[in-house]
Amino acid sequence: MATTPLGEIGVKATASVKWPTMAEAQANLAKAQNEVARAESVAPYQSMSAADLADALRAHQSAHAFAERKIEAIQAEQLRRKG
Amino acid sequence: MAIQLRSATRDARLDAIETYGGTSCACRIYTGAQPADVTVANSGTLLAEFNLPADWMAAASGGSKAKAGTWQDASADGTGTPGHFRIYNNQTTKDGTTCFIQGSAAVGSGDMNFDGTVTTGQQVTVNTFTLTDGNA
Repeated sequence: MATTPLGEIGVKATASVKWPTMAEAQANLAKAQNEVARAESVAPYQSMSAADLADALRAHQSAHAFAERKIEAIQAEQLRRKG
Repeated sequence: MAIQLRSATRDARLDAIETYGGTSCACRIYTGAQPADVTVANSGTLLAEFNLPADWMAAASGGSKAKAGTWQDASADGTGTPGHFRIYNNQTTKDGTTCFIQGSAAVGSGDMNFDGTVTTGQQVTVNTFTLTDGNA
């Protein structure tokens, strides 16, 4: 017996791209540096189990790498603007 | 034709998507065509990546559901033309095991319609993102 399928769920989205202002770039840099500092903090991990510590370490490494990439991109953009 | 559902039922179906995603989602924009399905590994060049707000979608209403909060990458990771986007229910592991939404992206068209190509260091903002249930 044939079945009637449910209808599809559609998505419609718009996105924009722009160069950040120098003020925005500096704010982003400060935010990324704070992320690195937070990722490097070991205090929250001291009372964790080995399994939780392993999970936290993976999260730490991911967050650190993410923030480092952002810092590099922002610094490259600042250098580009300074000519 | 597809069966028809009461609006509240359609809203519940949409809200279930946000519930499944949870409160720690992330979004990535890649170049190239989207993978065959959400379980397939990431592909293309990563252009932008950002975490979604904990409450990333507003409550569904009238069979549609719009994004909530700011969806933005302050500094793009790569350069290229957007080809697809993926949303993950994990902000650490972003692969075919955590992707639960994906769609096409393009400049001037696509599920996610961009106003231009992306260059490393640029600010990428998703201004609107609306899911609509088709069973009205």
